[in-house]
Amino acid sequence: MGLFSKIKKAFKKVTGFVKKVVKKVVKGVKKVVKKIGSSKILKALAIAAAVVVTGGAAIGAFTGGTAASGTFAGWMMNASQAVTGFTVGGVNVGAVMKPFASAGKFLGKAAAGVTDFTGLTTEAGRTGSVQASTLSGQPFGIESTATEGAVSSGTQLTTEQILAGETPASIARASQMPSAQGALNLPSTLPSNVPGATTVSGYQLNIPTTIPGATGVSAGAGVTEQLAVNVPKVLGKTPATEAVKTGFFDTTAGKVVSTVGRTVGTAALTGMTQQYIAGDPEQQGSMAGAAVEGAEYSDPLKVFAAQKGIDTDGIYQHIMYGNSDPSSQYGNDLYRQATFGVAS
Amino acid sequence: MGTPKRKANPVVSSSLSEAAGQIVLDGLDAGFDIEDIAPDRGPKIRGEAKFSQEGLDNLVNLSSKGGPIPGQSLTRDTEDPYPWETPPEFTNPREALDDVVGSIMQPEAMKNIVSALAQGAAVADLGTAILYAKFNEGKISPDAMMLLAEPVMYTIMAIGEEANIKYNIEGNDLDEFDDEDDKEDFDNKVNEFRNVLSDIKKGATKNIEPSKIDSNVVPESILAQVKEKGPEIKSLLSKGEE
Repeated sequence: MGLFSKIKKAFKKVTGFVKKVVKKVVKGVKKVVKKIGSSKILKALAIAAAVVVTGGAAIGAFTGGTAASGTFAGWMMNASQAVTGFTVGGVNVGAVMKPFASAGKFLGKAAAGVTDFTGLTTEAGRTGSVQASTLSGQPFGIESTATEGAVSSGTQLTTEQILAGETPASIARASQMPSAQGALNLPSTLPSNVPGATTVSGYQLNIPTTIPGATGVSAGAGVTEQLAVNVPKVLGKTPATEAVKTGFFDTTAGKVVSTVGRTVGTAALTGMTQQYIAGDPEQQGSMAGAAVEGAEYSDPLKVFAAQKGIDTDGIYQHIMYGNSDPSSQYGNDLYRQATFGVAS
Repeated sequence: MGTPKRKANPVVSSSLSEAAGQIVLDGLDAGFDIEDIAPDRGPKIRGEAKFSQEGLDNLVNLSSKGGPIPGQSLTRDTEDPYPWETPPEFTNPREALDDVVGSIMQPEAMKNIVSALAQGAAVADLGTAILYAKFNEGKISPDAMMLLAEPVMYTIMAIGEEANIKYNIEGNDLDEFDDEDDKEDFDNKVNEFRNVLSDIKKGATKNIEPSKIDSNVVPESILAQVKEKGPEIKSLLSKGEE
C-alpha cells in the first residue's frame, strides 16, 4: 500500500471519528436541553467551533464585523478576552502573542475578506486599497489610495545625507528639535586639567598616622586589644573587672541537670530531624528524603501538561481548543499542595 | 433573547468537538437560548448529492489512467524532490492551522466551498481535498494533516451553516440527524403508548373481579369457566401462541 492510500484510509478513519464525536456531543447536549433538533445543535456546535478555531476572527466574519457583548459569540470570547487581553469587537485581535490570540490576529485579515464576500463590507472601503487585478493597466500588486502629494510631502533625503548615514528618522528628529531649548552646548574638547584641582592649604585631610593615646598596648597588639585599652582611656573611664560568680550549672547538681537536659534535647532534636527526613505520612504532599518541593512543580501549567502527557517546553506544539489559552491556567489555583516555605 | 447571567467559563480541551460542546452547554446554562446561539434563518438549501453521468465518466477516465508503478517514487532525482518529500513548511500544527483556515476564509475559496456544499459535496471530502492539497504543496506533514482534519471540517461546517445550507458531512448523510430525530420521536411515542396501555391494563384488571361481575351482564356458565380457569384466560389483545 502506497503512502497516499494509507493517508486516504487514515483520513477516512479521522472523518468517521469526527462524525462519531459530533453525534456524541449532540446527544450530550440533548440530554441537558430537551426538545431541540439535532441539526440545531449541530449548527450551534459548528458556530462555536469556528469561533474557537479562528480565535474570534470568525465572529467578525459571521456577524458582520462586530461581536456585540450581548451575543453568544461575544460572550464566549469574553473568557479569552479576559485572559489574553485582546479586543474582539472591531476585529482588533492579537495584541498578545499567544497561540489562541495569534490565530485571531492572523485570521482577522482573512475573516474580513469573508465580510466582503457576504457583501457587508467592501475591500476598498475596509483597507483603503484594491487589488491590482481589479485595476486595468496597473503593473503592481497593490495600488495605494494615498495621493502623490501626500507621498512627496514626506522627508526627502539628499545624496549627501544618505552618504553621511542619515535616516529619515534622524532628519525628522533634528528638524523637530527647538534651536533655543533643545540644543545641547556640549564642549567639543575636554579641558587639559580639571578646574580647581590645585592643592589648597588648610583644606587638606589630615589623616592621623598614629592612633591617639596608643600607649600601654603591647607591641603587636591586635585591634580588639587596642580598642579595649584606648576607648576607656579616651572616655576617661577605668574598666571594671567583673567578678566571676559561681552559677547553678557550676555546682554538681547543676552539672547533672545540664547533662540530662543536653541528652534529652539532643534526643528530641534527633527525633524531629528523623521525622522531617522520613516525611509525615499524614501530611498531604509531603515528600520523603527531606526533599523540598520547589515552586516549579506546583506551576499549574506544568500540572495541566503533566496530566495530558505534554512536555511543557513544547506545549504550543500541541493543539488545544477552547475559549482560553492554556497559559491562562497560570492564574488559576488548579493545584493546591502543602509545600515547604522556600525563601525566594 | 436570553441574557447571560454570568461570564463564560474558560474551556480548554484537546478535542474541538468537546470544547465546542462544552461552550454551547455553558452558554445554555448561562441563560442563552438555543435561538441566540444558532438563529433560525428559514428553510435551508438542500445540498443533496445527485447522480451525474459526466462526473462518473471523469472518474472512470481518471482511474483508467492507472496508478504509479511500484517503486516509481524511488526513481525520482534526489536533487529535485517533490514538495511533500521535503521537510514541511509548518512544523507547528497551530501555524499550519492558521495557514489552512486562512486559505479557506478567503472570499474566492468561500464561494467555491458554498457552491460545492450546495451541490452535495460532503464536508469530509472538502476537508480532505484542502488538507491533501496543502500536503502536496509541502506545507504540512501527513501527521499535521490528520491533526487538522477536525478543525478544518468544523470550519467548513460553519461556512455551510452561515450560508444556510443543509450539507452532507460524509457521503450522502444529509438527513441523518433528522432521521435520528424522527426515530427518537417514534421510539418515544411507542414507549409512551406502551406505558399508557400498561396503565390501562393494570387499571382494568384491578377492577374486574369475577365475584363482582353482574350475572345479568355475563352468563353464569361463562363466569363459572372464568372462575375455574382463572389466570389461564388470556386477553383478546394478548400475544397469541406462535
